[in-house]
Amino acid sequence: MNEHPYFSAAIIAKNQSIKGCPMCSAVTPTFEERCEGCDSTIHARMPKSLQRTIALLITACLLYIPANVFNILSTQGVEGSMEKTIVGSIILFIDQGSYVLAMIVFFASIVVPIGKIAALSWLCVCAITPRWSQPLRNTRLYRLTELFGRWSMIDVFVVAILSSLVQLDVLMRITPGVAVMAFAGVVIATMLATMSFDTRLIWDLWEKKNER
Amino acid sequence: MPETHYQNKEQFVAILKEGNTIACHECDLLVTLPNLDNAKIVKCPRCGYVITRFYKFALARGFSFALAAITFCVIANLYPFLTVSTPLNANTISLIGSISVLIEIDEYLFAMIFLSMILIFPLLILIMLLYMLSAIYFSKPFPFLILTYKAIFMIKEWAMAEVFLISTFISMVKVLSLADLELEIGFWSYILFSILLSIAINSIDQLQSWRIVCQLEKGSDEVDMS
Repeated sequence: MNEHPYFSAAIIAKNQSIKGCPMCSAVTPTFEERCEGCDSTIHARMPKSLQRTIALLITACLLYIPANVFNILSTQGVEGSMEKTIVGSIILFIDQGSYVLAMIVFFASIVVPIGKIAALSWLCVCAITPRWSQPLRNTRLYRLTELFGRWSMIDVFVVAILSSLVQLDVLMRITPGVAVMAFAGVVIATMLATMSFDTRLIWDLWEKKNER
Repeated sequence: MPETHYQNKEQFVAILKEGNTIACHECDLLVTLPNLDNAKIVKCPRCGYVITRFYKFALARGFSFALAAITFCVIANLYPFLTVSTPLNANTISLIGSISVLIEIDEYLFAMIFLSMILIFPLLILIMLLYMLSAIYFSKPFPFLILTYKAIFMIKEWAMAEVFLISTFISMVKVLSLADLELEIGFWSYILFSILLSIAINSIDQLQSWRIVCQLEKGSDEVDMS
């Protein structure tokens, strides 16, 4: 039965007019609105999954612009005030010689958000284009996005800690800038986008492609 | 129509009724769970989604780690977190104090997100986990058990204690270039709290805990009928 990694005649729940519950894994006939096990409203496929994902991705893209343009924190000290953007703080880390930190911040606030947006857009494209349908690889890509998504919150937390720690009256003050909220918005929007993407769509398309 | 192995409809319905067949969450393949006695991990044969995972003493482990995590969370809040000192003055903050500083400088939304992700959500998860696990332990259907179960797995994604931990390390290095830093009891307990929390959450399997919760609920119905 399972010689090929994707079965030649896989039994898909939707084709059997049943649907599985994401919460409790019970199977319910499609015409029932609520899950037989846990009574939550379920759908065979998440309704408007692609639309929601794309909308949230656009939100994330738009928010990423102010997150990088404006300063993420401003330092007021004896030597005057200084404002830094995300990229600026990475450059400062490199100047100070702390390359590990520069790498962490670079990954958390540049590679992960951009990678996530790119990956999810790619998945959305793959979910409607039969030619590029590679379900196993794309599902793995989705899992990777899910796994790393939360770690881009690092930058936001760093600013929160710094601004609450360094309030040494006259000597030095650190206050969060506009970009922090925008960046938090990027992270939250991409996390919501990941949640609203339905991986089953990728497999549906692959099934359809094989039928032909 | 694709071919199916369930040509006989009655047989198919019987298999579904057994409750041993589930639709894979990620690829919608119908998977009949194998005999679970000796299994360590059950994956979807097509997409590799981990359907359920078995740990030794999962319930006891989850309960004890959750209890320990709550204890350390309380300690982390009672004791000071960090002390920043310059030659002129010193500033000791607690975890809650750091949030009130954010409120003082009018960053309400920021403070709210910060507070809920590092403290409220993890704590809520732990309390609900203890509630659910104690219901399982006493094998009594506590009120709102199903609601608790659902809430745990909904909030899970938004609790970011371990992310906060990494960001404290980064900001510590940054502060060290400006001032002296002293780690207090609160900080060490927060480290333990976040480690224990992730162990506690990860030792609870969604499918298995649902099965037990469901059994408890059904048991109560029978009691009510008699």
